[in-house]
Amino acid sequence: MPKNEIAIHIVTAVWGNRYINHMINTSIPSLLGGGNLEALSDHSKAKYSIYTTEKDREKLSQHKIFKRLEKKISVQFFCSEITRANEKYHQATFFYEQAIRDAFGENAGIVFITPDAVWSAGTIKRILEISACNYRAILIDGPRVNAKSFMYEWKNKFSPDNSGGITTPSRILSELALKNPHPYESSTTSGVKWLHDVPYFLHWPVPGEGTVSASFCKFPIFFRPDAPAYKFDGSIDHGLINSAIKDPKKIYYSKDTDEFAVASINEIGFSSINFKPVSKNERLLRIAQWAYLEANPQNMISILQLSRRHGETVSEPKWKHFEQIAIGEIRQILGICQIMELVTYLKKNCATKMARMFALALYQSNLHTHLNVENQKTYVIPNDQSWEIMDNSPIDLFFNSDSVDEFSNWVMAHSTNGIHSSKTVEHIPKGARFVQSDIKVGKDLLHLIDKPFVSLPVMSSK
Amino acid sequence: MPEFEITINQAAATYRAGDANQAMDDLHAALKVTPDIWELWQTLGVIAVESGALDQGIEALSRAAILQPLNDTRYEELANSYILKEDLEKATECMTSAIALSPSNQNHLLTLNKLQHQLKKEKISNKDPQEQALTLVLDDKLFSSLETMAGGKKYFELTQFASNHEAEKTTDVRIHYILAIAYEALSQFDNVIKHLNFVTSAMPAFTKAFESLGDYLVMNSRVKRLNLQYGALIWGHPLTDKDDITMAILAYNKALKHNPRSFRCRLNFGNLNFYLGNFDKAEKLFQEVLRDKPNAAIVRFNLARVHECKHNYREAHNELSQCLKLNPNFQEAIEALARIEIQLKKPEVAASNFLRALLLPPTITSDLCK
Repeated sequence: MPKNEIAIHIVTAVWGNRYINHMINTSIPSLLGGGNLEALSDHSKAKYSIYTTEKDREKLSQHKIFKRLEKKISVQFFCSEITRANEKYHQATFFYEQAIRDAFGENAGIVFITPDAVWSAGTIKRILEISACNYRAILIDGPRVNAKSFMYEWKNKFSPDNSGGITTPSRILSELALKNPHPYESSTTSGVKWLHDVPYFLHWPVPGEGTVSASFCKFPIFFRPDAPAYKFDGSIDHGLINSAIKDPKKIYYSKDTDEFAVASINEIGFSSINFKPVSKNERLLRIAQWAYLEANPQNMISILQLSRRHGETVSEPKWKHFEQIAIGEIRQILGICQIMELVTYLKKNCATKMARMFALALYQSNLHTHLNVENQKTYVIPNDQSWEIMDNSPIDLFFNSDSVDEFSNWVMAHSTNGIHSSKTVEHIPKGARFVQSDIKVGKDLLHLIDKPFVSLPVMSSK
Repeated sequence: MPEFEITINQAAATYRAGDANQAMDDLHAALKVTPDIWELWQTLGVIAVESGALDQGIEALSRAAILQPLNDTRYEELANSYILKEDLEKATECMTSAIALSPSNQNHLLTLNKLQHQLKKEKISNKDPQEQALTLVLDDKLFSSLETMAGGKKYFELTQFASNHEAEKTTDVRIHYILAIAYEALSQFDNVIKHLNFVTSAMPAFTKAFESLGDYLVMNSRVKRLNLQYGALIWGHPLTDKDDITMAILAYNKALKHNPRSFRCRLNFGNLNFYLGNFDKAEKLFQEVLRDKPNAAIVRFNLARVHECKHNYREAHNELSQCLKLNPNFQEAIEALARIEIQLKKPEVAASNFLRALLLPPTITSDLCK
């Protein structure tokens, strides 16, 4: 093995006729296509590990395309019984954990390949180039496509070569994916009027060209373990990288489908009916609510890594414009998450009245337009007791406001830009005392005080 | 002997002894505990019809047919009850369903002939269901193989096997129904709709198939609409929507014709009407469901949404309060309640509810009941 060359384990977890069939028709032909397994032909320590059942091993190994696969790479089966047939992600995780242990033993890098995916030409070649730069994980936003219409077009457009391989250039694969989206992808696209209950992918349409995409949960097509095992929540695209990689510089985020295009072939599925109609504001709020409850710290970094999905046409200024829009909305979403953290603290620490005002402003006013996760803030919030001296409630402002903006302005007037400790903060009512001070809430700083800001609009003291 | 059989024997004895009401009460009591036993519904139906309680009998026999949809005798019994009620159109539909399941049954053919003759005489119908039904041929061998695979939940294998044996071409409705179930498990909506279309056209009294057909047409339409919006945003495709909503409405109406008290059908049809902006129709359906199931939180929530759209805020508030007593952490209901409280000028409590909703996990539900 040449110096610096690491062992590569290609890993697939697969069981059941349906997915064996998918693997035979999608992932194996695309691996046999140009720039994938052939990129490993000179690699002395590459193998394909298939985690499956004894019965499925038999079926797979008898198929003619499997014989062609074996000519390109050494294949090893790891067979065990399916113990969690009704929880496919848990079962897959169980197999992946075995693969991680095995790879750690050989100091190998894993290329995870799901059985129902089409890989663009040259994907493995590019993975090897990036992994040689000492990255421990490569993450992608693989588009989910509508199985029926996508497969019909893909099979019509491309025929297998003599080795059974199908070479799909990334731009064509990406365009096919964009033209045959799974309804989940459609619902998580900005401007569409329905949203899925679990909105961890987000897209912004670039008219005529594709989408700017971002995701809290990106799929690790490459992972090199530095420990024998990891405990992680959910599937590998949700929790593995957060548990396994502490140095964010070791994570490579793919930024363009020109580099990798991996289309995941999905049936429509019952979960597809879990769509709810939403307005633009509700869309942002729902996504933030999901992220606040479900996303881990790595997911929160991942969402800020935009990627481009496109076909042949790329007009740079146009893409830059939509990337600006995307990043602005993502910062608002993460800003809402920050407010949710603040509100949770306020509720637990005798400042429920102001917590309610923030909630009201999020739902009924346009508070999100004031939020940007990049801007750290210092909040100075009156506690519940302090309102007793007032002859009206802050809620009155909500009804007396001329516009929805006014109420949000009032809520945000309890904050100043930047971090100001209790010793340096100037934005504080005269005579007010700190009840609690210098509390770190996420990226922001919070001081609880015993007196409301009477100078703020329409508030007056008794 | 299973408990339900003991109940049936006792009820039959009570009926024979001349106390039909007591027999029916006993059966009703048993059905409250085990509502999914078709034998109980069938016995109740027969006793009710024989006692002259035709509507009650028809309802019970319909429930039996829903629970045992691939048995021709259930539809025959139902047809005979409709004949007694002089509803020849529905009787004809039931006999057509019976013949679809047992095309060579001479008694069924004779009854259908008589009904058809009578209908033509009365010029009620210009359909010729017998002609359609007579073209059906059963394929017991293939059905039996598919049934075994379905029993073992081998749905992918089932569809492959069916494809290898050209099952798509069969006129055996049972095979089409099993294929619909298999494609449902594989989430292939188009194929579910294709096979349910066949089943419903051959069996006009098969309520459950009509309900499922309605649901899948709605789901399919929703998926198409989402992808159309996406295509319009990226590719500038026109937003023309050749959707399946009209067909879904027909399917739901057919289902309700034979089983007007179906929970699933009224709820899903109510939702469809809500999204179509037919608020009065949606309200009527939800109100009816609530009369049967007052503790269905989802229905109370849906009804509240209708009231909200009609600006009937007090009624909406009332429904949401009851909904939240049944399911206190129903996030969307708390959000709706807060919105209504704003309209009712109760800002403090509205803000409190918005805060509560904000920090709760989102409700992961479909508004289509399965």
